[in-house]
Amino acid sequence: MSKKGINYIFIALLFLCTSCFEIIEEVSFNKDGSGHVTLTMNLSKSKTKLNSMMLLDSVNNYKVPSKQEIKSHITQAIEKIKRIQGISNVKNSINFTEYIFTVSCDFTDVDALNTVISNFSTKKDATLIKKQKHFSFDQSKNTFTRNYHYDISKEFKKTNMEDRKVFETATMTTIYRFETPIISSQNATAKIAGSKKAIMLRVNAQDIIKNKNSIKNQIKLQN
Amino acid sequence: MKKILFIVAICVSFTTIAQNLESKIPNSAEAVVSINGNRLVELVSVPEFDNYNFAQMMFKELSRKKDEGSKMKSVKEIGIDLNSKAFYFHKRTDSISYHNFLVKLTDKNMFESLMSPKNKENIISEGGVQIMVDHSSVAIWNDQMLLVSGYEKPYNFFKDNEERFKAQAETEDESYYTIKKRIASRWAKAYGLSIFNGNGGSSILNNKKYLASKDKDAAASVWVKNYGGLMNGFMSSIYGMSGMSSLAGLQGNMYNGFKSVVANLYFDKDATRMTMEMEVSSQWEKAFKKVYNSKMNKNFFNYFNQNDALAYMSFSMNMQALFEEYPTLMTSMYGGMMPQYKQEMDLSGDFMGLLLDEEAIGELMTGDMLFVLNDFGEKEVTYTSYEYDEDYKRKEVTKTKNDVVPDFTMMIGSKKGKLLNKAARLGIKYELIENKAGYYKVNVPKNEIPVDLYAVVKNDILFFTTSETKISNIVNDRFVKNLGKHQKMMQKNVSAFYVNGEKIMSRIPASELSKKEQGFMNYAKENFKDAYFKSSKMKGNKMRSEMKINTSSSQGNSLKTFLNFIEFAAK
Repeated sequence: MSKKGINYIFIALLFLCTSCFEIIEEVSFNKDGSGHVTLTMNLSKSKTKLNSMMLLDSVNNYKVPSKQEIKSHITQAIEKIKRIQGISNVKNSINFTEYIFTVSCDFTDVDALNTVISNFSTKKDATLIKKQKHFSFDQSKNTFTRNYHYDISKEFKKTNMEDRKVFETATMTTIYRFETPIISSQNATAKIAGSKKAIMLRVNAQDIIKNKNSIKNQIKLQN
Repeated sequence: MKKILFIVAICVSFTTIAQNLESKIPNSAEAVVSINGNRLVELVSVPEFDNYNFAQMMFKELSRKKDEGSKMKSVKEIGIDLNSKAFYFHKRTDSISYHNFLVKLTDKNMFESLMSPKNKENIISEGGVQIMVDHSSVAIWNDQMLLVSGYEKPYNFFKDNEERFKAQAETEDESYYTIKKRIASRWAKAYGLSIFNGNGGSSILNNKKYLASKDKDAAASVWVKNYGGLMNGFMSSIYGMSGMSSLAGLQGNMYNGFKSVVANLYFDKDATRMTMEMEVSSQWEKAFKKVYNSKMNKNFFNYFNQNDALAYMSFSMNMQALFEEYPTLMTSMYGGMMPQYKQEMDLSGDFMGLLLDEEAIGELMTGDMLFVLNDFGEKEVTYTSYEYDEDYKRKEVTKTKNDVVPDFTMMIGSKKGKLLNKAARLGIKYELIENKAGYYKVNVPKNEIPVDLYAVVKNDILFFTTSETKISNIVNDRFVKNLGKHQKMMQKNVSAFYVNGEKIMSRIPASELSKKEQGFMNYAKENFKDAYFKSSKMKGNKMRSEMKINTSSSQGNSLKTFLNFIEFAAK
């Protein structure tokens, strides 16, 4: 199955669930730039609808993937991640009762992490991700940057009105942990923990789409 | 008096012209669709139509090729007589199938002005008519009339006759593709002219069955001479008479049991209606009568309350007869499709009859069924979310929310109450079912479907319902019936599907809909009342079905209601 296929399955799943979902990206960084990442997709709030939709063939012109298909696509993606240089300890969980999916792994540096993210994208996007670097760490300035190249609002305009409804209540959360205290962050919505060693940013999908906010951030750490 | 005479003269002249047009349709046509322009213009006047946005978009598209300044502003400018009837008819010969459109023209020049300069160059004048031929259609017109014949060149026919046609090559290096194109367009032109000049043989107006099918009040009508023949023709044009068909042994005769079809569409003041009548062969008639002409068990009517129904679907047939007739019908369908296996089909049908106890099946499931959507309710469901501590470490928490679920009642006719109760006891043993006060509670996996489901067998009916109050009322004979017009609907028909649009739309929670859908809903709530589709029992060799959508009369008539709805939706 191509990367497009994996994407398609998840996009289909998102479009099918007409009310609510959350995506959580959690990364713990060590001083040497290595770390641990956990990606979570939680569709639990929409499980009643998903359960009834799983009984159908297609909804709103999206083919409903079977549980088996979803499982096999996740397994394939995991196999690919396992083969990425600098990636180890790959784990995943699939919970069809609550519709929660997670992937976690250790990485030796942010480049390896970028390759993991690009693994979920199309070939064209994957090259862009590598070039743009979704995650970057400038050791000389002690600055960590979260970026992305997609013009989400442009992509969003391509979807039809019915599909847009899906994003009305969706959220995206990023949590980053560091060993050294955080001095400042660029994104005003982000909250720094009392310990100064963690930062959380929760954004509504609606705001990302309307270009009001994004998960982009630049975090300055103490030397 | 003079005025009256004048009006009569106009009416007669209109009908004569319409008849002239209709008389051009050959008796050999396999299907005819007529659109009653007069009736449509009566319902929505030309200026009213021109005002619609979608009409203006259509004009813009149509006059793209016209010069600035002469852009179309009205549907009248197509040059077609909107007060007259327009016809479509289909004819399949052994070589080519034709789709023909016949309309009356008011202004030939207006019609021609819509063509691109390139198309205009291809017009030829011949014997007082204008002709334009391309690779898939022929258009012929004069001052009064326009005929457009779309034609299809079946691949198989030209493949089978390749040798013969190749011999007709005009030059040595003329490709078979060009030969095919040339021959087909020559035939199509000759066919078009024969229709246009009315020398295509006997007219459809000599066909008594066609004449009997006509209804002057209909906005549009469809008549199919032989639906079975038409479908078999389509099938064989897809699979052909050679190649694949000989491999599979397909002869495409599986639709043999169907005969003529007549459909009429009406736009009344406060309803849109479509009626359909289908004739079947005498063999099918006998079988269908046994299967479909059963009466719904009267006990069903004791458990229907119209005030408690947003929609329902009823079905009544004789299951025993269905199983008895099934082998015969299968043989007639598939035996026709694969004649060389007719004996095998016959035998397997008999075997099936041996293995199945039709009577026992007919008692387990009589063939009566009624599904009622009572309401939409809210059920509390749990879901998993996360909370974070001051260090943003997450903790899984269970939260609750309300989901919208349907409340419904389903009734299935069964005379095998004892057997069903036995099965229920087995279900209790395996904890799939719980025994309650005189009824059962089905243990639905709550996590998957958040509804309660109760069941009971009573008065030869197996009930399933989501409401405990309802099941208790059924068991304790406290159910209040209120049938209204619906008893007749269920009793007189093989199947009926009814939706109370007004009610259902006011019960769907707004939270379930997008803003656009809510807009639709509100419009629909104000303008559409209720709708049904019913399919009546066999009368003679005919099966009749009807679809009706009752609309509010506030917009003048139902055609306007629909056009306004399109206008609203396109915004």
